[in-house]
Amino acid sequence: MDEDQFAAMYADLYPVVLGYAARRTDWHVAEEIAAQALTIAWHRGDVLPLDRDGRCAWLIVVARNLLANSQRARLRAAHLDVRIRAGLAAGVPMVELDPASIVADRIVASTAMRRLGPRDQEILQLVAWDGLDLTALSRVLGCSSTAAAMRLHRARRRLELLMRAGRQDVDDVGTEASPPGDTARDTSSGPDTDGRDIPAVPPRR
Amino acid sequence: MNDAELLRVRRLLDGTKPVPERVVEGSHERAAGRRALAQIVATAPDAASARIPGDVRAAARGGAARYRTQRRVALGAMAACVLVAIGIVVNPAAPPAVATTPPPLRYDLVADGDISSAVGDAAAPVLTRLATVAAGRVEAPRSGDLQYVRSERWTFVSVQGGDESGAAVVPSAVLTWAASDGSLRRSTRSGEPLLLNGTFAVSPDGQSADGTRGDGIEQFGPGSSGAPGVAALASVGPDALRSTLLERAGCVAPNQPAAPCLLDAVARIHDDAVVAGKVDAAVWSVLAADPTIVTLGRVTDRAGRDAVALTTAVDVKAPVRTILLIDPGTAALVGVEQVLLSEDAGYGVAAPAVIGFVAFLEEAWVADPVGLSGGT
Repeated sequence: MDEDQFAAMYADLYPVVLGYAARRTDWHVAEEIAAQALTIAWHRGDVLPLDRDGRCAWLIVVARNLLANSQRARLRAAHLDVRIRAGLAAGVPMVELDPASIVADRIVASTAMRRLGPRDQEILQLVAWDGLDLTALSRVLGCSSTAAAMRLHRARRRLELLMRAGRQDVDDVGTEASPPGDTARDTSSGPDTDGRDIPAVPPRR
Repeated sequence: MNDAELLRVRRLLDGTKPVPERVVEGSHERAAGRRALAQIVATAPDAASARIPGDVRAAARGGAARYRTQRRVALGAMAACVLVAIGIVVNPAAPPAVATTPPPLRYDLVADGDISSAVGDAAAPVLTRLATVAAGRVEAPRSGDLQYVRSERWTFVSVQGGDESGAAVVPSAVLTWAASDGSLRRSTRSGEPLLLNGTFAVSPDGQSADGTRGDGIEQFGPGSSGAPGVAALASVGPDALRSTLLERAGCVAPNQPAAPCLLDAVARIHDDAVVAGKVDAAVWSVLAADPTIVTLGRVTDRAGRDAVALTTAVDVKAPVRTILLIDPGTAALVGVEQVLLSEDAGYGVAAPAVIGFVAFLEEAWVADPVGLSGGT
């Protein structure tokens, strides 16, 4: 790849990679991650996929790994929820954004998302935030499209269950003065289909 | 149906996106974007150094010396290129040494040097013996309330993508002091040269044991370290101890193989805690009850010490095989090796390859964070 070709690719994909990173960490860190990912692409023209979508997925994988490496190094001794630690150990970057920066009227969805496991969060974010389709999702996750679809489906179901529970919480607060019988929860569906306990949202760094 | 699923997810999370497209639109034309592009294309897209990672397996199995040297040069060049190009600078004043993945240690029960297929022997008798030795260990007298640990580490840093990747190594000397409230002081000195044969020169006492110097001294508040709770592990009982170890390793998935988690947890406990013989005895007993843990026999570790090697059975599916090295004389953990078994793990080097090790060199209860020979 010559310099002009690279510059064209850079103009197309730098914003995509920056967006991916900026949705998960501070802006200045995101700029570094994006620059590093594109630097690797420049030096690894021999393995860069030929098609645009393939390159996009390839760069997101690189950015994902750089971000996870960076977070592992920075958060090594921090007190983190075991799910976050497991996610980082498996190379899943965590979202470091201040929840307050997330649109307030979607607080139920945001809260539910943060209560999911790191892998579920990542799958949903790649689709909802980064706009990946199933082919790109499977490339980033390193699995088949079928497996990606299944994982997405399960993650979405878990999110919905948590959102339902979250709305119930909001309703409970709104009807605090009502008789106890009016605020009975629907206990037929737990918050997590795996039957695991879901600890409180971990403290931020 | 798949499109419907995508739409459904996007609808559910509509409005939660922290950085909309319009914020990053045109970012390549802004100052930071232009600067980054100029810096990138100013570096040569070195085709030779881009051809990595090379066949580490061939090198590890004792291929021709010239082949190894070439590979090491190529890997080193790539790692250096990556470090310079992407700015992974652990310590700007003293850049870390760069080397290939180190060769595996020579284990008695690994005949052909291929750890990935080594079956080993049942570990239960060895672990039971180690538990007995640990239970009878005479502890060194305490001179203070801080738990001090000195270790040499070799940390793998990879940058990856596509079907090949770049790799660099970061050797470092790490000193930690954990207080009774869980606050932690850590001194990390990166960049000590790691010899190409995968060994290192042990620093003379006192050279590293100085908590007031070092490339990076970090202080973490109360509750940051689990070291104060380690002593209590001796009395919780085997089931609770096993559960605690699994939780410490972050193993929360229901169907996750336990053995790799247990070994990782043991390694983590020793990161910043002075582990008493009674705790070691309890831990070795828990491991002895797990039939998926095997021994690879005797080995000489990277600091030249005799040890017994314990790891997961070959049929335990995990991308990385953790190997604990235990001093048979004291039953104390002296080192941890990590061997990559599957390239699916995304480390970007050919498997099998040693992707990290820790050598625990010194641990003691001290009075202040100056170390053992630095003035206490």
